[in-house]
Amino acid sequence: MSRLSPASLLIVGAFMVPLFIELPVVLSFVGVNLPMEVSLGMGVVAFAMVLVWSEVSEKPEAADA
Amino acid sequence: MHVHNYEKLWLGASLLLIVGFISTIVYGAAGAGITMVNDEGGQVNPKELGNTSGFDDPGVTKVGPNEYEVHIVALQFAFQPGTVELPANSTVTFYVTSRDVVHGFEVAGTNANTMVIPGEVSQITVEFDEPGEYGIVCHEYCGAGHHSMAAELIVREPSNFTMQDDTQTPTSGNETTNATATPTGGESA
Amino acid sequence: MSTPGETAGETVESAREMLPDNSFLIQYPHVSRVVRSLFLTAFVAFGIGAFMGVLQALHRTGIARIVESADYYTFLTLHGVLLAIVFTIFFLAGVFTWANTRSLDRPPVSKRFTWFWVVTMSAGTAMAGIAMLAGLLPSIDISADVLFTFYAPLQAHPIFYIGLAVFVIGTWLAGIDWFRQFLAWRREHPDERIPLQSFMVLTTMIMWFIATLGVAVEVVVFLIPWSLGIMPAPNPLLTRTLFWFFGHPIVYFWLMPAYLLWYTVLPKIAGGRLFSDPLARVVFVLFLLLSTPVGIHHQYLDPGIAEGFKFIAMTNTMFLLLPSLLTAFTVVASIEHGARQRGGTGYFGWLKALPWRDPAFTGMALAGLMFAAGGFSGMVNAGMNINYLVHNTLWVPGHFHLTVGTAVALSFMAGAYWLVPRITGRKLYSRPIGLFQVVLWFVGMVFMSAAMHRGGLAGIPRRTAEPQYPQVAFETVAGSVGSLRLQLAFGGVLLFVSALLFLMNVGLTAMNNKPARGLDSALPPALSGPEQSPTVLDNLKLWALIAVVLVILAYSLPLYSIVQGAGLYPAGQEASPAVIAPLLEVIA
Repeated sequence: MSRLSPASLLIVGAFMVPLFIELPVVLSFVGVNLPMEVSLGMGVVAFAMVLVWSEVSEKPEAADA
Repeated sequence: MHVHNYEKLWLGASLLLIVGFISTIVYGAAGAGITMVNDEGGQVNPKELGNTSGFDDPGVTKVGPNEYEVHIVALQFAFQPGTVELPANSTVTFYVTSRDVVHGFEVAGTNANTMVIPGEVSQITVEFDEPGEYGIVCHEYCGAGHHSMAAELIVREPSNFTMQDDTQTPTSGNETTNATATPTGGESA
Repeated sequence: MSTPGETAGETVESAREMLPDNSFLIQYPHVSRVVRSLFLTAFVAFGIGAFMGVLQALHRTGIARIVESADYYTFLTLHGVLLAIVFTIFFLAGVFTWANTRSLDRPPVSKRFTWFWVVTMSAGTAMAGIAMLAGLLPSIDISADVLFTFYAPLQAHPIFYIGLAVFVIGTWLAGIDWFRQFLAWRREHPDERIPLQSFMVLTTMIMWFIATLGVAVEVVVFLIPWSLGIMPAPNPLLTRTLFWFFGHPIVYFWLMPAYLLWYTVLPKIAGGRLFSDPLARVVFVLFLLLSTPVGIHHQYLDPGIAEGFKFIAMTNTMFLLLPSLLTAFTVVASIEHGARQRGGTGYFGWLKALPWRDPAFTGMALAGLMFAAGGFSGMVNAGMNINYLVHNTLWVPGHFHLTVGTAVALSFMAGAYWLVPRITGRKLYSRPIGLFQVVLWFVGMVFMSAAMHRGGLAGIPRRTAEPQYPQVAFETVAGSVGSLRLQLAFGGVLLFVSALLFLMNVGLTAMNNKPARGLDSALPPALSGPEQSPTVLDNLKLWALIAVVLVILAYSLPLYSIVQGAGLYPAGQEASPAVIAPLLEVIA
């Protein structure tokens, strides 16, 4: 049983987009040069990890869902 | 009127933010000396620019030891002159006007930027600290050929600079520069 | 599709009998029909405008140039006018008609008058639309390639200006209709507080009456006689100033229906109640007072206007942040209250308890979030010396695609998912598609708007078919110009797909034979009710008077000095393109 519903995944994924788009700009202020493509790639990997976590993690018994 | 405590806190913080913003702008104007484009440029007849002092022969004029004036005419769809050359470490006052419709004048990547309105003269004073090549673009829609309206600005080492009108070929220098042009206040025409 | 409720199938007919008696459609079938027809026009304009938008995103980035670059500006004019004037204002008219009727609990005074202003607005739109579309056909000697701002001496065909004037008159009549409805209610309820939604409608319309005076004078006194060839070309600085007299308050005219939805509908969807009725009233009064005397902040870089006038506009603009900051507080507090009512706990844990599966909620929440980002880029624009760096660069469309393009447009789409079932009696076709669509809009706008802001900092100009110049190398802070172009175009395509999904979803809802359920149109009362707010807030005459005084203070001296400078009709101004040979010269 997936931990996150499709709707939750959609929302979580949507909130990750601005983070990874702005990451290179934020890093450029501290002198780190991160190419945009790499940053977006990291975003895709991060989202894939959330997907995997959602599939494999145990759903807690507690009724907080 | 009942106002929740959190609301009062938020209201206070908001007002503080607003006053803070206004203060930074006042500081920018009074401390750093950034003045706005204003009404000092005066008015001209856009059909009589050929008989108007300065705009009859647009280009660079030296007016002081390190001071230059540049007259530029914007028209559909070009700037006259198409190439402006200036020495670094100089104070430059641009006088820009339009022969036909509303145009824009922007030295790309810097804060040298003004609207160009037919009948009005935009006057901006900027300082170029370091040599470099800049593009000048028209940033206000002015007709079907708007996207082809651009010019170039070359800031040379003072030792390499000689006053010549529109004849020098652009160099292929691709040196990057972080120089910005900063409008400064106080200068009167 | 225009009157779906009237051609209902059996299921919906039988379902109508199942609708609760207090549902809007049962109580006000005629008003529902008016709202449906206004929404139809709004959504058709939205579809065409969105198509123009994706063409531009692909064109200016050089990815696909389907049209000639000279025609790009015709498409840009259509994009601006159809989305920023037709879509927004027709949707506003629909929402306001619904809200005024619902909160006053009585229909407009005269059915004929209501349809009269609907037809007037539509006729004006059609005239301006014909002028703009004809620009694509060289065989017809009509064009209006003047963009949304129509700065003279660029000239459009007279039918464009006349259409615009007719449209604005239509909006005035609509405002008069809503005031008549209110006055009829007032006669029956002499001592009651103005219901909140009606209060929002009325203050917004007073602001609009004041603001449109600028554009009315510009168009009727100067541009129409000039385009007909009976008067010479007007002072371009004067007509610009009159345009921005109207051009800034119009952004609050777009925003106020979105605020109305955030203040009154969003708390209900979130399962809670509005935090504070008095503060909502204060916010709308502040917008009425401060929306207009700020227009000169669009002219920070105009020659011929003294710095002092710009400084006054800047100060007013900064104070205009206040109502939006207060709104952020009230809306978030109301949503949190809703989440806690739904069982949410913890400092941030309550966020999980919100109805994220509901596209109406998620759309408005994402729209509000984007508005915060748009507000911050707007503060940069408002700071008059930083504005040098971004004026008329791609930064500016990046900013307003967050505000009008998301805070307003996405709230309207989300609002439509909630409101369309209420005015048709039909069930929303698909909630999952709706949810996907609003999230897709958010993601597409993040891509496009971030690229625009960054491109603007590099100096790439706005409103340009081909921002690629042999003389100019743009330098960006992070990432190459090429990757920004890709990012912009990718975002634009996502937005277009999202717009299509929205139109499809709403279109299928209008034809859906499944009845809507749970259409209770009552809105929960605020936690701090109107009885907590001073009655002076409801004194509309007082606020209107103060608003007029502020406008006179902000504008009389600048206008006087502009006219003193170059006069009303300066020598040497010439129309471009000359649409009609000046009659004066023909006679002479």
